[in-house]
Amino acid sequence: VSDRREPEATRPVTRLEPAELSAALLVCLPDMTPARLRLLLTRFRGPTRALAAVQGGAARDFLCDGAPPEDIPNRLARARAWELAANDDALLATIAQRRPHVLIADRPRYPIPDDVPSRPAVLLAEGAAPHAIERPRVAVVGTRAATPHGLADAREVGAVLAEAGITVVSGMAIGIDGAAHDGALEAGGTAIGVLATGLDVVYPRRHVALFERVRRAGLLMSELGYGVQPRPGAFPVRNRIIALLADVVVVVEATVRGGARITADRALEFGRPVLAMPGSRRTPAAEGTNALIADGAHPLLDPSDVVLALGLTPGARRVRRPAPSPGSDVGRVLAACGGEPASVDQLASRTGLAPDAVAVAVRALERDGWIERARGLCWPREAPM
Amino acid sequence: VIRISRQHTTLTFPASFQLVASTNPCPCGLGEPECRCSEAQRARYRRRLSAPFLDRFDVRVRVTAPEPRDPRGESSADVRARVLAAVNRQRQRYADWPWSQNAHVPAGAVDRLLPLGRDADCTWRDLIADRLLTGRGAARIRRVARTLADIDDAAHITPAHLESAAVLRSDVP
Repeated sequence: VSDRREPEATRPVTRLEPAELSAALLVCLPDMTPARLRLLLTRFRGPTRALAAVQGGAARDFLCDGAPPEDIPNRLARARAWELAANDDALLATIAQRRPHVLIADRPRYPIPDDVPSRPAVLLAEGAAPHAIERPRVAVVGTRAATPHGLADAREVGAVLAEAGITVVSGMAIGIDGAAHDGALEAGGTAIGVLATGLDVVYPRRHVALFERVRRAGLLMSELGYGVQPRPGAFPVRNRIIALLADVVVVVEATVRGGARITADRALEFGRPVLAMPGSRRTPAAEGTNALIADGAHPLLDPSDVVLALGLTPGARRVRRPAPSPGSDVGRVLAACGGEPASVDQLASRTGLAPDAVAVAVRALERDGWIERARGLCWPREAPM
Repeated sequence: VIRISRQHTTLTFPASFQLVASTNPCPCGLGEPECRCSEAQRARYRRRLSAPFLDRFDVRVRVTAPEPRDPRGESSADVRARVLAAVNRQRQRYADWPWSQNAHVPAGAVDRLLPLGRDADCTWRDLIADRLLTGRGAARIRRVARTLADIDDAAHITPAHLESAAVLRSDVP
């Protein structure tokens, strides 16, 4: 809110253009849905006229036309709520205070081409790096129930993309989503988090710090108004925006039925290339990605494949540490993992080394990033950074 | 000892025991790589054992099924002989103290009674720096390292003893 004293300015002031402000207000009307908003903007030919119509009481006819008779009382109540909210300064004050970027379909800066009818009519965005949206964008998505390997892969894909100057788009969820954002931000890149709630809601709560980091180095985006709380049905709907924003969709780990599968299916529908990271058939978290590959998605064998898929060159070449020499204790222990998680006992009996020599080697491998220890097992990591 | 204090009385029960416990890694109990439990199921299963409870176990290891080509292990009699020797070493070390085992050295006396040489001290600092240890956990690694040194009949705790003690305190289940 502007704190300059202007005697005649009693209404909250925003820096938005009239069309942007109108669009933001419409998004924030109570019970507004993406479909209703699209219809409203088409019917009244643009946000400014649509807002004026709602303020003038035209929402009644708009909402009630063709409604089944038993639903009329509901619709009338909604029309009244819209009219009140549209004329109330409280909504204006919220928008003046949050200062969102408002992206309207078919206007400059709107990031999605117009070949998909289900694209959001209006996107609200908040964050300190609006240029995140101008860069090539790659979605990195996957299951919330990720394995330590999957999390490490997602983080690495995020970092590789960041180094090539690509924005990582994801859904801010626990698991793969969060790890991809984290990898990108850690590597100094930009990220876009697409929310299934209002931009003022942090969900999941556990990611409150990640939300702040994305705000600082990227954008949070939503097609929903302020105050909209998480609702199960909203996540699949949100996933289409992730698919639409992405030039390429990467699926790191996914269960057979899960949000990541939905994102990938939408992406294929919209003609975006999908890359999936193959995994062991023994891991439930790889069933979805393996099924995607069987259905024709490109296998992602190395994180830099994404960059090649975009036709770009990878950024700074990653420094690979020289592998431990095969004859040393460290080399023998790493080889004894054989690419699968193993316990220290197993490593001792496979190498024939004394237990404390194995312990020393395991700790050295852990320090240098060759393995990760979790759940009492040593998990080999493919490409140490 | 266990001391229970209520309004009128205080009861003291003798309690000197070694607790050995086992649990499955997940609801199906198969472990990687055969396990098909979802990560959420495993997390729920693990949550039943709280971190403060697990922190009180000095040694926490993952035990995997034997593999066909595993060499034969040592005989229990040999192991027993080594353990008894280690126990005797500890009795002698603590002859002038009210306790007789490394495990009972009070946290405040760990630095004085279980000292580290220069190399071991470097390793110790490393361990403290890169692991999320509680104060209790750190002291217990020191005590376990001393026990490993006793089993080796070593006069001093070496870096390898500390590393082994740290690896024996893994994040299971």
